[in-house]
Amino acid sequence: MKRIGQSVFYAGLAAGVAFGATLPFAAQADWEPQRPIEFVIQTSPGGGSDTYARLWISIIDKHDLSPVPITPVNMPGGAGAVAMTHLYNQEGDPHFITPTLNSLITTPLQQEIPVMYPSEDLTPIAKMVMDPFLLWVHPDNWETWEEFHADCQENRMTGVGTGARQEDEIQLALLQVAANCESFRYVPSAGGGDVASAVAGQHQDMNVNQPAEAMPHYPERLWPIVAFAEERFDAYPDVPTHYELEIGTDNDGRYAELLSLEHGVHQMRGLIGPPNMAPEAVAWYEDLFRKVWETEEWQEFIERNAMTPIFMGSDEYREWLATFEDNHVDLMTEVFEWELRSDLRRR
Amino acid sequence: MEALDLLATGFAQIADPTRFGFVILGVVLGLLVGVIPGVGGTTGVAILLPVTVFLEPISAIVMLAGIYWGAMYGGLITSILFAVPGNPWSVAVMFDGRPMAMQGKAALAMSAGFVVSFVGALIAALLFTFFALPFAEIALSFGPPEMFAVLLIAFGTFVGLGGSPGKAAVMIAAGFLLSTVGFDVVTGQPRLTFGTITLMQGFHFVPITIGLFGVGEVLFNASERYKVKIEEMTRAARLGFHDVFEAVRAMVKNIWMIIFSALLGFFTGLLPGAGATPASFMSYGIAQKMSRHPEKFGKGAIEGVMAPEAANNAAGTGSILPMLVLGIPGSPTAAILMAGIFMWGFIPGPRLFVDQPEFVWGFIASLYVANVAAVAICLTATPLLAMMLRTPYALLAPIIIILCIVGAYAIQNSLLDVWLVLIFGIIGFVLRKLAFPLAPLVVALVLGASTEQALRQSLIMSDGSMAIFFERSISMPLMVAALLLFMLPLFQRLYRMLRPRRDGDQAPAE
Repeated sequence: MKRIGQSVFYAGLAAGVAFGATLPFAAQADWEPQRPIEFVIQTSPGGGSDTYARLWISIIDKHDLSPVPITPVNMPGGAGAVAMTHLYNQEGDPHFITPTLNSLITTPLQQEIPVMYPSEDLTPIAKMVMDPFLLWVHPDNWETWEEFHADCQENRMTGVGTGARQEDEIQLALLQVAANCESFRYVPSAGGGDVASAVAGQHQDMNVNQPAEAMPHYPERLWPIVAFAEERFDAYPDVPTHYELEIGTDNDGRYAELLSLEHGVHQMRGLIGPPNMAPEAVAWYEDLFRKVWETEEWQEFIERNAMTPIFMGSDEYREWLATFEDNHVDLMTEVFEWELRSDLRRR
Repeated sequence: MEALDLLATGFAQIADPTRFGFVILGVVLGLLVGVIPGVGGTTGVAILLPVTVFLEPISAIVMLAGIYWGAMYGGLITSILFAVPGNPWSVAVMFDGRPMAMQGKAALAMSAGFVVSFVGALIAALLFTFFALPFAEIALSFGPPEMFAVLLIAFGTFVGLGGSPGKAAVMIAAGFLLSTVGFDVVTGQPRLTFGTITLMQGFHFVPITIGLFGVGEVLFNASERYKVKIEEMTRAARLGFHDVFEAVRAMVKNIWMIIFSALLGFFTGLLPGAGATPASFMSYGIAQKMSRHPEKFGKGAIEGVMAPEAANNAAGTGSILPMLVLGIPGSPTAAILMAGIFMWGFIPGPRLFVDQPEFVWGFIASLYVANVAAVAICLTATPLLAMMLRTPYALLAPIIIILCIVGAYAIQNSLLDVWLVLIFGIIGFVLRKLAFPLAPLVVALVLGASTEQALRQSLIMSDGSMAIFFERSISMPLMVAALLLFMLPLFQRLYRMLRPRRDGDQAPAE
């Protein structure tokens, strides 16, 4: 009963806000926020997404890029399901945005929430960076992919990653198939720091962390043996890519493509808004975050954490997301045979 | 010694008046947010994180850290005065702190809590200063089986903690059941959510704890005609510092127990995913088991205030260590501090100690300064805080309820949490009337999810074999210790049965 009451309340609020917000602004050529913007964050304070959201807010504040304050609001729970549903319920009101990460794709494919494909059901705003994956092991165990590969065809390896059936497990499961390893065990863990220390402490064999999370242990306790990308990373010039190592390159190279950075699995950091945002509002945000992207602070952050700089505006990001979503559906249903949400609509 | 030289550099860093000002500002802010239930240091640090880009990194970290230390102190105030735990790790201090307040010893309980918090933090700070790198290695050697064993010990210390064992078992089961609701990290599937999205966020322990204790207490007092007690309680709110002296005397008397609690807290704090909350419960349980008069616990024993406070402040300091040295945040607040370190352009890890000694040692020096400032402010304010009890209860009760609701909403901006506070307030009231102990439920709820996760992670690693807990060199002794703790009440009973003529109330410690 209380849930019904709450959803009626939210629906009413959303409708009212949407009505109030869209009508007057539709007439204007340019849009500007009229009240504080709510940055709805799907993790607790200190979580990955939270860090990015607060970093962007600090850059916006420092350079005075927004006429209104942007307030972080943490709504953790359900691997992003709670925050995403909240955003969905703000239909048409451009005073709400959410930072994106890969659970934006994986959660709505598995949980029956109002959003199914964010590229259609929400409004992509901008993609700010690609955070690449590398395969990390403890250097006492293996120093090269060749050593690891020989071993993994004989023994079951244990991988560790953040959450279950999210990007880390997907990347590891894909690696196992692509490299023909004995089936991996997968230990789901709470966050990137735990994932790194589980391998650094030799409790598990491998992870596919992003460089920033592995850095505190590199090179003594964590060693990258594969870079999942088309080209080697500047920060790790000696680490071969999976193309060089011919992981998944046979049979038309589909697995290799899915493992790679461009259209395959990596951690994406960007922004998305509620459904049916006015184009003027989208343009305003696009401009705002392009300015953020160009600041020295953000460029330094990208470089320091060995990320791959890329900026996509709203349209480009939407198209990219659609491909990304389809790739996920193919992988999860056909390659892994995971059970997705029962009302899944294939495109 | 090298460490002393480096620490001196650190003190030189924060001797700068601006930075010193930021330490003090942080502590004061921390004390203020720590008092609001549910808000606590985590939220305080998170709110101020974006502001820190305007500061240079050392001022930024010492201010944020100051908030953290300040909040560690602030949390016990509402626990003792109103039975509303400000933080999850302030639950244990309430078990005896609240009865002391009811007996007119609120100021003494708070003074004891503050003094011991300081000692706990100081011990932890010294360990941090001299042994940061070796301790980080210890943290790294704890994997899921070891974590499970540690959590099992935490539960073990609570076995036989008074009350009817049957009722305690019911409450533990209820706590576990509540902790399973929500999104299951291991399978990535929702559990017991009945198809709703709201329940996917799970039952957060803070609103439930605030409801059971805070709101439950208000209702209970209303039904018990609180007026009778208020005379007694206000008598205690005398101005003056004799309570501080008495607290120091009590601390000196129990110094070994406090050092033990602080060490236990520090080690637990080092472990990722454990942190201050299990540390405070464990040291409370152990202090009771080791005490010469365990029956006084829960009825206003000062040791029951001191043990968990020494442990949780030491754990709070300990949880920063793996974050700084290994990039593993041992607590949510440590996670936000780590986010800050990335934002300011540093990368946590052993190389941070080499590349940025001013930053690291300035931060370590701020541990000492912030704790001295926090204890001084707290002790000065204690008589004033205790005066709050003089407020007529008819005015106080609604304020407490509002604080409870605001605090619960602030955690994850969810209306469900507000409902939980109110519903569990009523449940708490009924359970107290029926003499069900509330502590086992809270312990099971707080530790249930991490215990379950550690167990299932271990079993994935071993393909389902329980042998993994006994094959590893660290988890084996810990598991044996945990099992012995569980059997302790049985041994005690056997002991009494075999020696019927001797006086049975002297509980054997080992």
